[in-house]
This record gives sequence, C-alpha cells and structure tokens, in this order.
Amino acid sequence: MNLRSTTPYLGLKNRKRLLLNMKISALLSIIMVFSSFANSYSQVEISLDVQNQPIIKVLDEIESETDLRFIFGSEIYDFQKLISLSVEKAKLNEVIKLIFENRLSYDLNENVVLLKKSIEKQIAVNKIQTKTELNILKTKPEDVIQIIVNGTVTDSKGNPLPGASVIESGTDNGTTTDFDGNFSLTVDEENPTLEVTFIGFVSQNVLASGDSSINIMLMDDIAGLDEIVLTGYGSQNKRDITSSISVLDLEGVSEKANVDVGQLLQARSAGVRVVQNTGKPGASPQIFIRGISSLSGNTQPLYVIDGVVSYSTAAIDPNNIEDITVLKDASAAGIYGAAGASNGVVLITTKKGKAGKFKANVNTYTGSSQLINKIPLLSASQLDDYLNELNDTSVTYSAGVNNDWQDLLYQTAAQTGVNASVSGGSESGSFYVGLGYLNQEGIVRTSENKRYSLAINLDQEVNDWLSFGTHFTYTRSNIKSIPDDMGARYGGAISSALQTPPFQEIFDENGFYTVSAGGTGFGLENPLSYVYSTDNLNVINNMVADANFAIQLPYNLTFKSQIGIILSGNRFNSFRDPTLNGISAAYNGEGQYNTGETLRYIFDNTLSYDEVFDKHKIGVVIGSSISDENRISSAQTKRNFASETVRTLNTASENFSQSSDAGSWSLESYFARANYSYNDKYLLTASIRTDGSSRIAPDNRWGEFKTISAGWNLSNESFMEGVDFLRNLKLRAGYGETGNLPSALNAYANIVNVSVFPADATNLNPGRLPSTQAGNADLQWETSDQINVGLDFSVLDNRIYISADYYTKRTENMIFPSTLPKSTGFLTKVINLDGVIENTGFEFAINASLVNTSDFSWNSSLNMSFNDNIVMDIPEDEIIFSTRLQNLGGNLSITKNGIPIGSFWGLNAEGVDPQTGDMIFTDNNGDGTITPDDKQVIGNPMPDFTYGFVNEFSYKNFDLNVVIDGSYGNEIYNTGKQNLQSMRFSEQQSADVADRWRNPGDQTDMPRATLVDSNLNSFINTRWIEDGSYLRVRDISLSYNFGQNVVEKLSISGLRIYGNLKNWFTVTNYTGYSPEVNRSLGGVDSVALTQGVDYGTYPQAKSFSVGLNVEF
Amino acid sequence: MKKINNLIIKGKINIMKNQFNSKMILALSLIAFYSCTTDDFLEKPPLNELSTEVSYASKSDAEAAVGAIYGMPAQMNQHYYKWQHTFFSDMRADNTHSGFVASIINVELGQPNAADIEPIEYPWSQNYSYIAAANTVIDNIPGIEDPKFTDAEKNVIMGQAYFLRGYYYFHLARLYGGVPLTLSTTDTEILKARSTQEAVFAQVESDLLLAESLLPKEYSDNFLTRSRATKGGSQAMLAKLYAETGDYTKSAEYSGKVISSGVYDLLPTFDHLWDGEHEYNRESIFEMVHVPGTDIATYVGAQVLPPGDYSQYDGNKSGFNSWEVPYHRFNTMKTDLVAAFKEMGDTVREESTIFYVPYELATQPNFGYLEGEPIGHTWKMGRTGEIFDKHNVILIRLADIILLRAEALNQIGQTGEAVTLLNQVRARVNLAPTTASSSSEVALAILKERRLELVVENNRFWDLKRYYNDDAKLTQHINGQTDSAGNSFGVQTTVGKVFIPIPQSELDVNPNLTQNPGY
Repeated sequence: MNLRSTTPYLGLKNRKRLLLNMKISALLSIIMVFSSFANSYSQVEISLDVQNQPIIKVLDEIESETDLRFIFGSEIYDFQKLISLSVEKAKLNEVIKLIFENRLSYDLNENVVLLKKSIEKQIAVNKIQTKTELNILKTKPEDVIQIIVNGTVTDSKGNPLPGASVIESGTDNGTTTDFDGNFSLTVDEENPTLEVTFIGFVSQNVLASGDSSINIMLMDDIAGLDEIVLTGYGSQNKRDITSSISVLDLEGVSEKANVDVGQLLQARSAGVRVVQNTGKPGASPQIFIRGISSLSGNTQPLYVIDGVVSYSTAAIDPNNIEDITVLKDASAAGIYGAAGASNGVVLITTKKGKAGKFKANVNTYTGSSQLINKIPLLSASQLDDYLNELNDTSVTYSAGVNNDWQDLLYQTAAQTGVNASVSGGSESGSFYVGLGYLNQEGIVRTSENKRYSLAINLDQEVNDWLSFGTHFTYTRSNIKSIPDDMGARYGGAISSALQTPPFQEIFDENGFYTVSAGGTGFGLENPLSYVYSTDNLNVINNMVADANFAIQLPYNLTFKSQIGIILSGNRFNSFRDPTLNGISAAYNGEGQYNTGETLRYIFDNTLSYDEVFDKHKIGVVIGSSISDENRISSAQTKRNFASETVRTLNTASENFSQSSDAGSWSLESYFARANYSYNDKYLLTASIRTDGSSRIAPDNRWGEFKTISAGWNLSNESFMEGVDFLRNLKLRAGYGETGNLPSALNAYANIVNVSVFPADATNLNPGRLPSTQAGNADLQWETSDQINVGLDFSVLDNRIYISADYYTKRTENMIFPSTLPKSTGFLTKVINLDGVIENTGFEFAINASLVNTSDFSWNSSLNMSFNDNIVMDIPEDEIIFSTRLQNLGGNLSITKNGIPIGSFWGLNAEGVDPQTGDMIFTDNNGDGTITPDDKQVIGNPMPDFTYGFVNEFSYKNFDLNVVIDGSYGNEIYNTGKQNLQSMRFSEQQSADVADRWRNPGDQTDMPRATLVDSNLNSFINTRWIEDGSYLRVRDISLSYNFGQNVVEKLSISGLRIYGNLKNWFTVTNYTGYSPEVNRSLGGVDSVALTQGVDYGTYPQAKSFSVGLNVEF
Repeated sequence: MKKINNLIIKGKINIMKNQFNSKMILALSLIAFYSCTTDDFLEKPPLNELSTEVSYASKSDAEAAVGAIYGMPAQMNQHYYKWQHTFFSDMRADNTHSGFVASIINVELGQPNAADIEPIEYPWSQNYSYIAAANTVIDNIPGIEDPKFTDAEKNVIMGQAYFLRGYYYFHLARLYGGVPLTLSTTDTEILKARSTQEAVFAQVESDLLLAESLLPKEYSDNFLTRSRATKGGSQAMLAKLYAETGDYTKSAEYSGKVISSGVYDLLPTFDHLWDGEHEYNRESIFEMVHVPGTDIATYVGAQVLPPGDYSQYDGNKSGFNSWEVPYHRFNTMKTDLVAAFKEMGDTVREESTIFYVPYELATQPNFGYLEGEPIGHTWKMGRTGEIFDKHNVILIRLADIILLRAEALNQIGQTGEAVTLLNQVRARVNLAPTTASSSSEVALAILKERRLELVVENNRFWDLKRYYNDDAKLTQHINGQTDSAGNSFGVQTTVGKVFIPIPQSELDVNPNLTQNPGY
C-alpha cells in the first residue's frame, strides 16, 4: 500500500485518517493472511434511528455502536448524501443495502467493511440518464455468451490496489478490486477494453483478451490531487489548495549521498533558487524563494521542522527527511506572519515509522570529489618578465623553484557516509530511529566535515481521544575549516593559491611557511600556510525536539499542543602553530577558544475544527504561539604557549583577549485560519496573524498580517463535462501579508558601548562610548504583500500536470542599516527605508509521466522561474553602496531606484589606448576627465530565469535519475580575476596578462603593468563582469534493485546498489572556478547586497560515489 | 512518490457525552492558560550593552565617559595618532618613504585617491568617532545630578571634553580643509555641508579657550598631568592653532604660557624620549597611553619594522624574532633627510632616528633591505622592536612648543628671543648655538631645527606650509625631492592639493559635501 503518514500536525479529519491509515496497513496485512477465515462480524446486530443525516455520519454512528470499521474510496459514492434510516437489530448486509440503495456492495474481513461499487442496474440507469447511452442498452443483446476476465491491479511498485474500479469500456459493466487487487469481470465482448481507474493514479485503458488473467499497473497520478498538503498548523487536500504551494517529489532522493537539505530543494520546485555558493564542507547553500525581498534582513526561507519553527536545517540529516513542502506565496506563508515568512516557508517532515512492519535500512556510500577546473596563470618566466616590467625589487626570484600552488592546495577528497534506520509500528503507535555518519573531506587540503546524526520519532495513540508524539533530531558536526575567501585574513587560501608566485619557496630558512612579498601590501601567506599552520575546528551541535499531544474533542474539534526546543551550541578551537608560521612564532603560538549556545523554546497551541455539511466543507484553526530565545557566547585568545603540541589555553601565558556576549528575544503570536469549499468547486481560505516582537520598540510592537485566497475547480463545473483533454483545471488567486523582523535584537534602543581607558600606566578602567549605531525608536516591521494568480490543469489523461503562477511581491518599510555620514559621529542607523522592492515573476512546473510500461517508465519534471527584481520609490538621495573591495576600487554594488538590488557599479571600459597602455573609460558626463562621477550600472547579478529539469527513468530493475538545473542571464563580478589582472602588485597574474600592453602602438585588450596605476586600470570596471549563466548536470544516479529471488536468498527484503555523479557537467562561459557565487560578509554587505560577487570563493567540487542500500 | 488518500476510514469516538463536557472544559482552560503570557514577555532589554538612559547618571559615569575618549585612539585598531599621520606629514613632504602599499605610495606621490579607505577614509571616520564621544560628554554631563559630583569636578570633565573635541577638529581641518561641524549627538541635521576651514578653526579656538579656562595646570598625579587634557595642553594647542591661522602674536602668547607654566621642562637626554624607560616625563604635554597586554596597545612596530631578528644589531633593544608584515618599508628615510642630519652634524638625533642596515643583516636571505639603507627601525614610536609595542606616544611635547614660540617671535620681529629659544633646543643635542641672525635666516634655521627634532611627529608638511605660506612654493619644494643619484621621485603634487580628498564613501552618502579641488 502506498499510504504515507505525512505530518504530526493535521486537522481532525486528516489526523484521523492518518492514524487510521496506519491501522489499516496493519490490518490489511492481517486480513490478507486471514481472509479465508469465517467472519462473525457479518452477524453483528445494528440498531439505528437517524433523520436527514449525511451517510458519513451514519457510518460514524455504526462505528460507535459496533466494532465495525468502514473503508471506502471517497469517490465511489456521495457520502454527503442525506438519508433517513430506522432499523432494529439489522444485519450488516441489510443496512448497507438500505443506506446505499443497493448501489454498493462490500467485502468483510474481520471487522473491516470494504465498500465497493456493485454492478447494479442503478448505475447503468444513472449513466444512461446523464450520458444518453441508451443505445448501449439497446444494442446489448440478452443472449450474448459472457466471458470472464480476471486480473490484478497494482501500483508501480507491485503493491495490490484494493478498491480500484474496472469498467468495460463503452459499457456500464464494471467491478472493483478486492483486497489483493484482484478482480473478476464478466464481459460481453471477446477482447474488451477495460477502463481501470483508481483515485491518486492515472487511469488506464487495457485491452484484455477473454479468459485470461491480466496484470494492470497503475502509475501515480502526476497531479497528486489527493495528496495531503501541509499548510502550516494544519493541512489540506491538494485539490482544495488555493495558494502557491510546492510539494517536492523526493522519491529516491533522500536515500542518496546527500549532505545538505539544500541539495533536496535544488531543481525540484519552481520559484526556489538554490545557490551552492561555496564548496566548503559543512556549509549550507543559499536558498531564495521568489527572488530577494529584503535589503539587509533575512533573505532565507523560514524552516519548520515537524511543526517547530527552526530558522535553520542544521539539525537535520537529509537522509531522515520524508517530505518537503514549500509555501511560496504570502497567502500560504502568511500564517507564519512576522516570524520570517516573507521569504517563503519550507515545511520539513522527518521520517516516521509505518504501522505493521518492522523495517531496517542501511544505506552506505563512498566516493571522492575533485576540483572541476584550474585557473590558468602565468608561467614562472612570464611572471619574471612581468615583475621586471613592474620594477618591484622587493620580490626575489628563486631559481629552480616552480610551485603550482593550485595543485598544492587542492586534493582529491574522499567522502563516506552511512545511514541506518529502524522503524515500525503497531495499530496505535509507531517509531523511527535513524542514525547517520558522514565523513566528507573538502577539496582544499585539511578541510573536512564529520557529521553524526540521530533522529528519533515516536507517535502513540493513548486512547480513542488522546494521542501523543515526540520528535527529536540532532546533528553534531566537526568542521575543520581553512580561511578561504577574501574576507579571511589577507585574502584567504583560495586567492593565495592564485596570487602566490610559483618561484616562491614553500618554507623559508626558519622552517616557516613563506609569506609573499607583494600583494596588496599585506603579504599573503602562502596557501599551505593557511592550510597547515592554522588548525580551526568548529564543533557544532544542533537539536530540534518537540513533544506534542492532541485531544479529539466533540463536534469535530481537535486541540493540539506542542512544545519545541531548538538548541544549538558550538565550540571553536583554533591554534596557529608557532613552528610553522612566522606570524604565530612572533607570539609563540596563538590559541582561540570560543563557545556559544543558543536556546529557544516554542510553545504552540491550536484548536482546529473540520466539518462537512452537505456540499459545504469547512476547516478552521485558531492558535497561539510563543517563542523565546537566549544566546550566550564567549571568546578568548591566548598567546605564548609552553609547547606547540599541547594546545589547551591553560598552557599559554599571555591573555590576549577575552569577551563574552549575550542576547535574547521573544515573539508572541495569535493566529486563525478558515477554509471553506462549496461543492468541491469554489474554495476560499483566509487567515490572520498578529505578532508581538521584543525586537521592536514597545510602541510599535504588534503587527497584523492578513491573507485571503480563492480557488475555482472548473473541471467540476457542468460546462466542463466532456472536455476530456483538460482535467483538474483550477484557477487560484490570493493576496497575503507577511513580515520580516530586524535581525538586530535592540536596534530601537540608544545604546552605549562599554570600552576601556588607561586608569594608570598599567591598568585599564571601564569606559563608556556612544554606540556607532544610532537607536531608532520608530523602527517597524519590514512588510511584504504578495498577489498570486495561479492555474493548474492536467492533460493527456492526467499524464502531464501543469501548474503555473504569476506573482507580484512588494516589500515595504525595508529594514536597513542606513549608512550615516561619518561626520555625524554615528556609522549606521537601522531604519525603515521608504520605497519598495518589487519581485514580479512567472513560474511554471510541468510534471509528466512520459512513458509508462511495465518494463520502462520515464517521469520528467521541468520547472522554470522568471523573476524581475527592482527597487522603487526609495528616497532619491538614498543610494546604497555595498561590497567594499579593499584596494580594488571601493564599493562594487549599488542599490537605488529603477535597478535590481545589488547591481554592479563602476566604470565602463572601452578598451586599451594603444599609445599609453591605459584603459579607456567612458566619460559619461562628458567633462573630459574620468572621475567617480563617470561610474554607471555595469551589471545585474540577478538571473533572468532559473530552471530545474528532473528525469527519472526506470527500466526493469534499473533506475536512472538525472537532475539538471541552471540559471540564465545573471552576471558575476569576478574579483579573483580582477586581482589576477590588476598588474599593480608583485604577485602572480592570470595567463592572459602575457598579452598586456608593452609598447606604444600595441593593440591589445590587456592594459599595461603599473605599480602606481594612476589611470585606475585595476579598479572596478566592466572588464571583470562576466556572464554567469550556467547549465549544470547536478546529479546523475543509476541504481539497480536486486530482484525478489536474490533478496530472498539473502533473507533480506531489499537490496539496491547505486552510483552517483554530482556536478559532473557544467556548461558556462564563466572563467572562475564556479558560476555559483555570492559573497556575504555581514554588515551592509548582506546576502542581498552582495549577490553575484566571486570573492575567492571555495570552489565547488565534482564528485563520484557508489553506494549500497539494504533493507531488512 | 505520492501521498494518496483514496481510502477513508471512519473512526470511532467512543466516549460518553458527559465525558465530552469535562474534556472540553479541560481543553479550553488549557488554551486559556497557555495563551496567557506575562506582560513583560516581550520586554528584552539588551544584555550586552547599556542604554543611554541609564548611562550618564553619576560622577563615575562621567569619568567613564570622558576616560573612554582617551582610550579610543589608543585602541589596537586605531592608527592615525600612532603613525598613520606620517603619510600626510612626513611621507608627502621630504622626510620619509611610504613603503609598498599602493594607496600610500599614491599619497607620497601627491595623488591620493578619494576611494582609498586606508589612508584617506580612516582619519575622517576615526576623528569623527572621537568627536562623537566628546559630544556625548558635553551633552550629558551637565545634566547629571549627583550630590557627590561637585561643580568643580564637572568643570574638569567638561574641560577635557572641550579640549579633545578641539584637538580632533584641529587635525581634521588641517588635513581635509573645512569639514562638517557636528557639535552634539542629538543634532538631527545628518547631511551637513562642509563648514569653511576658518569656521572649523574658530570652533577649535572656542573649545580650546573653554578648556583652558576649565582645566587645571596639573592633576594630583603626574600620570594624569601627562596623559590628560590640561591647561598647558590647551595652551599648546592654541599656540599651534594660531600659528596655523597666521596669528603669530597669539601663538607666541600661548606658547609662552606653556613654557612659563612651570609644569614642563626639556628632558636632558633626547634619546630618553624614545627608549621606553622615561614615560610621563616633564617634557611631555599630552601623551597617549598604551597599557601592555591589553587592547590599549599598538602594534606599530610590526607595521614599520624590517623582518628578521635584527635585535642583535640594535644594542639594548629587546628581541624581535619575527614580523607581522614584512617588507613594508614604511618610513624609510629619504636621502634628503639623511643629508639634513649630516649637514647639521646632528649625530644625537640622527642615532635616535635612523638605523642604517648593516652588511650582516642585508645579506640575510629574504631580508629585502639593502646595506646602508636608512630604515625607520628606530622610528621613534616603534623603538622597542616588539610587534605589540608597549610604548606611549607623545602627541605634544615641550620642544615642539619652544620651537613654535621661536618661530612666532621671529615672525613678529622678536628674532633675538627666537634665537635664544632655538639654541635651548639645540643645546640639548649638543649642537652649537645657531649662526643665523637675520629674521629670514632664523626662520630657515627654525624650520631645519623642527625637521630634525620632530621627524615623524606629525609636523613636517605643516611646517613647510607655514614657512612658504604659498601653495606653489610648497608644491615646488615637495616635487623637487630627489634620491641619492639625483633622480626625481616622480612626486606630482599639483598646486592646490594641500588638502587630502574628502573620502569617496562620505561623498557617496552625503550629497551636500563637495570634494576638494584637484580630485
């Protein structure tokens, strides 16, 4: 059975389904074994007296009076139909007959009653009336010899599908399958076409030959309209959804070599852009849902793990993830109000045990990764030539030394992972325990990530009205990092590997790693020095745990309470070895010991109500949520170590610096949401949330966020009947408001910093200084509102399902640390900037079941997202400069009206003057000289569109998955290349510098080498703007599932081997290491304001791995 | 993978109706209970900072506030008053070289770039942050009502704040010309235009005069007298200000007050000023305190010293085994300065100022300096050769004020008295009395004396500027510098570029600012 429990947090109706779904699996397996037993339940006596009640209520009543339980497909009958019934001590068969007017039959196993369509005349009559198929009746002679067709209906995995309907095409003749998926149908023709339908699956027409048994495999319905979709504090049937929500298809994904949750999100959802902006082990990618809508605030989505608002996915091993649902538009995300829903919400459900079957699974893989490409640099002799031209005598050439620093820095890195899980459950409870280990080396030497993970999920029904659950997910990561990007001390290892001259020795005469002479004046350590002379170990513990209980109340009310604890702690140890590093030798070793802990609890209570009255379906949830976080951290650095082998700080004698820090914040929220649908045609959802935050000044503390959305299932309208090529047509429209909080905890307050001053010649006293940040008591929320219009439909017999959305998202009251003129004495003030960031976009997703035979299937999904970002209506004099490039020309990024956030800003290079060898820049203001006033917008880091293309092929026992994604139209500013072509410093340059201008008359596009560079050739200009478009084959995995015969011989229940290629092919014109780059250093250089800047980024690797998955 | 829900199972709620009610009440009361948070649930005052309301309420608060201003420029990450002023005083004049940092080379060559953070923006942002701290004191201290805080004590605190504000504005205006005047932390005019240099100097004068009237000549403790603002310090700064603005009468008057105050004397041995053993001496008027092993310490030595263990060549200096940043060559001496010492026959000050690289050191691998090269290892503030130099920096000292008074007196016709003062300074370093006698000869002699006495003490460029009193001649002097072979250094200072450019980042955020001419 393909039944899945999805969430610990469902509305009453759904939750009941969930719990009972688990029961059913258990029961079914029992039933399948014992179905031949005689059944005493047929003799149960039923007494009923109901007036004008929907059938579903009547069944309820029977269940409460007896031990009978009903199972049925909701589409086989109108269970909302009102009936009146009065019986005394009637038998089950009589009651069923009365209720369903003889139109349904049933199978009884133990106490479970499976209702199914019967082949009764009434059906025929109904059909004749609606479809005027009188002819069929007429032409059906009474005396035709009847032929019996037997068969089995299964899903694509071979599991039997009970209750599927099998109808002889063109007739009213049909049946439903039994518990084992078997059917037997008496047909009129010798070779009839059978129409096999089952909800949640694609209908199939099968040509059957008489007197034979056929196997019919139904494919999952690509539209998945019967999926239960999480909506935050509840769930809904997909067909009732009115907003923009993506449910990710993770089939087979979570069993592969996945390291980060971001990898699961990549390429699989329209509107979700995943940027793997660093290849550093243990680093998470950046995730943007529908563009960037905040200047300085959070731009990443809100994560909700098993109902707990978590802000991060660090606590989860992706192998323990069952489902991911993305709430993209504000009408969906608005229920999370100001908790950070402006960037979308990612709901993550971890794996739970399934009732009935104890299952153990071990997945292990091993592989290696390597650098994708090297950057071509000058040869030693070309460099010598260049240095002579530069006339810098400080660099001395060491003959015979020719180090390829890139080769020295990068390695082929090994990666190993093991995940083991056990799960199972009984009728009333389930458990899941997952353990994981990952050992991932980075392609830069010594960098690595070792992660240990544990997940425990327990769910238990205590009795008929009380259920309890607890979820626990924990990871511990030991990350060895190296100072990589240019934000690191003097430029980091990556740029050092490019800029250190090849003739530089590895060690100097003292046995220290060498430091290069030139550079920006702050000599670069050589790459091996970054790698080997400094040990950085960051041990990070992350935990998300919750306990919840739900009480079923009368009147279909459910009360649910959940306490979540989010705990993260880290310990950072670093040691600079005085025997390897001259800098460190000067202070005889430097050790750092920093710790931090963040503890947040969240306490949610909801009361939900779901009811169906005739054609009206109503769902309401009201609730409250409080959240409180405390952070504390400390840092200490000591110097002068007794020995370089013992690195604990107690062995160091000089207290260099100590500090500790603390902060806290809280959020208090109340919310309500109502869903209403009429006749499955007209859908309406509205919600309101009010949030109070400690981060806002008391007078503005509370904010209110409203949403409303509506849907129209056109396919259920009578005028759409007969429009067979177009099915499941639904129109959606929604509006919603969301909020974003300031990241600073006390930006509203005027703060005084504590400092020190000399009290006498040897002692310091505490002093007080005004903060460089001016307080802002008027500080408000950042608010976003979003309009979303969407359309869903399927074509070709539901084999292709298309969902398209258009949206406009406007962010106002932008929280922004405005740069004050330094002459005010302040540096910044957090303000609500007037104006709007507008993201307008169109996105679509196509899911197709392209080929579907018993041997071969091909499912494909394609999504594309077009997003336009523009800043409007901010004060004309507010021009935001960001991405400060020290010694390379100041600020690179600019944000102002009429252009996208973080556009590139600089001079436009027209070429090299053959006479002087200097760059010719465009004199935009025509004043005859090139000044900063001639700068212009020179590039846009935002893509025109991004896309994902996922293909799943299955041939016999082989599965092949190919994941492709890409970005088009974004530009990258290649700072690394700017350094390598600056020709101003005594350091290694890129290979094309060999073509530089040398003599008057030289025609080249590479200017002259000059120490002074008074023409600013090496400063920010268009020379280093590159096309960042790429198409990347992100993942190819081929797996083989061993057949039953092998598996049974081994006494296991499943065995799969697989091979996996990641990042193996990339198509791009970008000349740096990787076209996925985003620098972010903090402060005004927020994620949003430094898009598309390659800043000596740790390159991504391509990797190969093989794995084995065993199921017991 | 699809979650299907094709089967609906009807469950049973098997509870009697009367149980419903009690359960309902239980649940509703739970909800009611849960929904109640305390009123102060959302009150989260900062845990790691003080808010302004509670920070300035007592005498000790006032002392902490004014004390912090002294601590600011002494912090490890603050460089201007420790050594970066040399870019503009000594490097862009004829005393020292800039090393190998392009942005500083550009300063030496007379082409500073407004977009460079170091060195163009730092003096701006750092001085304004000190001024903001002074403004905080001036805004908040008068309102403190603390019975233990007497008016006299308040006056001393206020006087210090006025002195410091004047001190920092003086240096800002000297570097950049007219700058925006921010005189209160509550000033709501954010996008201020530049005031004229005259207006800024007028403000400096007013602050310093107030300070002079409020501050004591001496504190109870010599440490405070040397490291805090005093009446004498205010008068010394006024003397400098009046010289800068051409009011030599007043310059002579105020420098005279300092000299005759009885608080200051020349230290008999010149080298004692720099050896780290004679801090807080009687020549020191205003001294920046560094406290070893704390954040209030500098690593000037690392910035300016050559690599390698050269302590063995350096007599009494402590060990300097490695280096933070090699080859910077900041403040190697220009041949013109070396020649000036030779010409004067001034061996005492030469030895304290210049270290000539010996053969043994120059031949060490990777040392990078040439034999005989006059480097700044004994550059006065980095004298001990330690990376984290523990020595104080003397910001104002008596010899400067004596020579300034000599200059002023000579300008107002009292050449004889000027010569006396000049000889007083010469005598300390074993130089014979000057032979100069005419006013113009004496003026030149004083200029030469100030050069050798005050290398890398934030004077040379301004001394030349006063001496020539003409941008064209000043420019000509600077551009005329040559190396030992007589080749031009390529200095291209253009006439009018007396002021360094307003930082580009500041122009970017404040449209009301104008750039200095020539940039």
